[in-house]
Amino acid sequence: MIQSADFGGRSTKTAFRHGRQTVLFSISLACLNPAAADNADQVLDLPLAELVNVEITSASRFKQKISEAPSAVEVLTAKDITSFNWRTLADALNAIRGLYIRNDRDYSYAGARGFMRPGDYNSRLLIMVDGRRMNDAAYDSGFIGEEFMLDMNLIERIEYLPGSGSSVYGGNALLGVVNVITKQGKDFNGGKLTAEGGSMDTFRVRGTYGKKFDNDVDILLNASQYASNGNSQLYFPQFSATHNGFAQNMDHEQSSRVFTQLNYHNLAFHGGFVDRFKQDPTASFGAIFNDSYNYVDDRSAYMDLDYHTDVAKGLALETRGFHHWYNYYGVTPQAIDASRVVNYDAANARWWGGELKLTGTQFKSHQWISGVELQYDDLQQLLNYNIKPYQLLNNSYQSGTRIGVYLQDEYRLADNLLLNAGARLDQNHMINGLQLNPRVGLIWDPISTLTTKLLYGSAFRAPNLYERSTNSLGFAANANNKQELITSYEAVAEFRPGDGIKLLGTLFYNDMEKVLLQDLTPTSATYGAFINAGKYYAHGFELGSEKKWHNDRLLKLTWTHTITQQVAPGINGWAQGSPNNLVKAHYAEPFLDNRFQLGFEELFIDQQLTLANQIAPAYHLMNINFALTKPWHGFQGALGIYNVLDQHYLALGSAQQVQDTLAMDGRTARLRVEYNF
Amino acid sequence: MRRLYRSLNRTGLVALICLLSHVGAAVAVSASSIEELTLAYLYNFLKFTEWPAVDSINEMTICVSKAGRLAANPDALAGRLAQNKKVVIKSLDTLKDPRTCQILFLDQTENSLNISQWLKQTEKLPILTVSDKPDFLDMGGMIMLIEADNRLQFEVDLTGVRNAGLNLNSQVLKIARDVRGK
Repeated sequence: MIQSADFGGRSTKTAFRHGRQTVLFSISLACLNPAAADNADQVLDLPLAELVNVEITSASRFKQKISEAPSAVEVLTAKDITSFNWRTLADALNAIRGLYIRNDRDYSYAGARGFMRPGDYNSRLLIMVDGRRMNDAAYDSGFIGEEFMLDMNLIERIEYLPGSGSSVYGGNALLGVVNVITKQGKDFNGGKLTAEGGSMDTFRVRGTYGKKFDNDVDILLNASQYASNGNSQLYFPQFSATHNGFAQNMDHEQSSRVFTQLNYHNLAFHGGFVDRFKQDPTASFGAIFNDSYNYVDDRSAYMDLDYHTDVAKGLALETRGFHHWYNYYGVTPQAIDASRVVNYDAANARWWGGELKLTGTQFKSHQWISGVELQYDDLQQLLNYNIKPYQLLNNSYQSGTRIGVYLQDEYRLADNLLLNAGARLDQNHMINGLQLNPRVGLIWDPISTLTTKLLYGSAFRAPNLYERSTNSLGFAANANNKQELITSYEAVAEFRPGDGIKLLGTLFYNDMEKVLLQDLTPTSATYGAFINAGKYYAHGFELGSEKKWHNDRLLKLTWTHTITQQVAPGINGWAQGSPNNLVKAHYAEPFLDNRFQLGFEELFIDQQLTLANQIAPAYHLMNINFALTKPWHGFQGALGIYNVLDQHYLALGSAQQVQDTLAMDGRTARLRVEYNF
Repeated sequence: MRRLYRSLNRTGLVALICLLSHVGAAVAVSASSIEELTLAYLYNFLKFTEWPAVDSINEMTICVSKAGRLAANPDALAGRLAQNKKVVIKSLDTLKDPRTCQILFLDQTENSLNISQWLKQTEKLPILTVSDKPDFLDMGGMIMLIEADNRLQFEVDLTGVRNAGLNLNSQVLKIARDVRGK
């Protein structure tokens, strides 16, 4: 588990010294120099060879070298975001080794290492902001598009830990953990006004203010408004009987965001709100085609108060309290008995809780983390009714508790050999019995420039309310479905010979069981219900190479090869939604004393099997970004051209869409101008 | 803790404990704050690095970023010498010209964008770059301080050191936890 240097990496100047040892120690110092010996001076006189043996009095935040993390971590920084001009978190994740993004014109979804279920709601990837879980409590969705909490300008780093992460983070961390670390006020040190405009009548305005004051209060405020008309018409051959298959002005999207962060010494407050509206041009869920009164709206808000303190020498405590709200509603016009009936589908969730985390470095050769996380699902509600004539179809609500306790220890067996072992025990009100998920990692550096890792871990995901209760289409409930499980095995080698070069290779095997699938066979007894019927076996390898030059030039290539087998009722073979190959290339080049930056991104996504067992062809996307990075009279700017070669590629349709594949957008451009004051 | 010490002091216990525990040998420093240790490292690096044209330098300058933790105590090395020259600590505003620095220390609280900007500015200049940011060497820095086993250790990437025309004493490399780019 990585703890970013920026998040929680603010070291404290005061060490609470307890215990007789310290008393004796200061006394012995006093003996040397009755006028209170100056420890600092003594340390300065130590020879280098002894400095490495002096213990640190203030407890560590346990900042791990990335190469020693028990995972093949991938990190994207604010600089990468500037270089490649990713518009949303989804864009950024699409650039990461092993991840691939699908958009069904409602939401964006992430697949990882050959696993993606079209029709799922991103419930198998844990999305965090500064270590706080953001997946909602109704669908467990981790949002990554315009419905994600943060504007891209607020992101300092994105850390992706592939593989199962339940041993520390609990549920939903089946395919990996994405932790987004935010910037602080001091990183802006002033105000910023941003205007964006682009193809398809897309606009965004944003105001940002950040400052660290002399009294150490650091404040960050950000607000933005986004609107896009989208495609003025979209052609769907499946609906050629209606309006010749054209959805006219049905692709509108809007989002509003507010985010604030306050930092004062070891205290951090985060608060955020995002509201995102999207029209659905695809007529999913049996909607009347080309009826503009068809949209979804998702609102998330949260508050998070986080406090770090050193409780003793070599022991740090992090306490956290949080409160989240999530509200969704979708409007779908349906044709029932030849008349138009508008269906209203909604979810409300409210949850709050706290975390305690202890980090200890007091035992020689050990660094341990232990914590307890409590979440009270105050309200989980699904509501569905027809508006006129009014007919209530579903009103399920419940509340309950989730508790997780974990312990992880990093044991340095030798200078170049680490054993990382941990486990987490989870109780979740959606399932009977406790979940125990272990993780073991052996990290060995045979030579100083080469790190090798052997990793084993498991993770679980409890069914959510959506999968448990009667759902929006009046499908059957299934009170007896159980948690999904994944076991993952991985071998990693990272070679860093210096000079900004990094080479990486991984071998992985993932075994997913009891995967919840919706039974869509009309003749089946469990028709419409989510049943633990799926099995997936994925194995593959990844190769990556990267070179960073001093002048900020960057070249990065990754290749992920996966073979995923899906075993489900009626299916046994190549999994749907699983490209065998993902190849990604990134190249950034600075110009004119780094005043300008050019970024090239090339993404290749191999062919995939659709839900109708057809082939969606392979495609590649090239994106080019040209940015003015150094402010010129206070102005900065960027021009991003996406899908430069105007590929009309196909994305897989979701389970509730008639379309087996959906044509995606061709070339688009977006211009951003920023003014700093 | 201090109160306890004072009361011990008042009762004369300190003197007694001194007599009992003090065997005349200098007591080794066994624990120190991370800021003190960081400073001690920087001071040692000043002693054990060869800068080109060192004779034309009047003062050995350690530059620290203004927002960092070491900027609070600019006189911490007052009166000390390295290579027979006075040692000064200078705090720099972000991206000020670092040409007068022998060592540039970048605090982990600096964001990575600033750090890479600093690194670009110092590229090919005879300035030893040091930081306690965990991925500093991957960013192109020369020496990274890292906490391990409740101690402060360091790792070196020699590529940048060589490009800058600097020379690190072999003693430094021996003690380093990890050396890249040999």
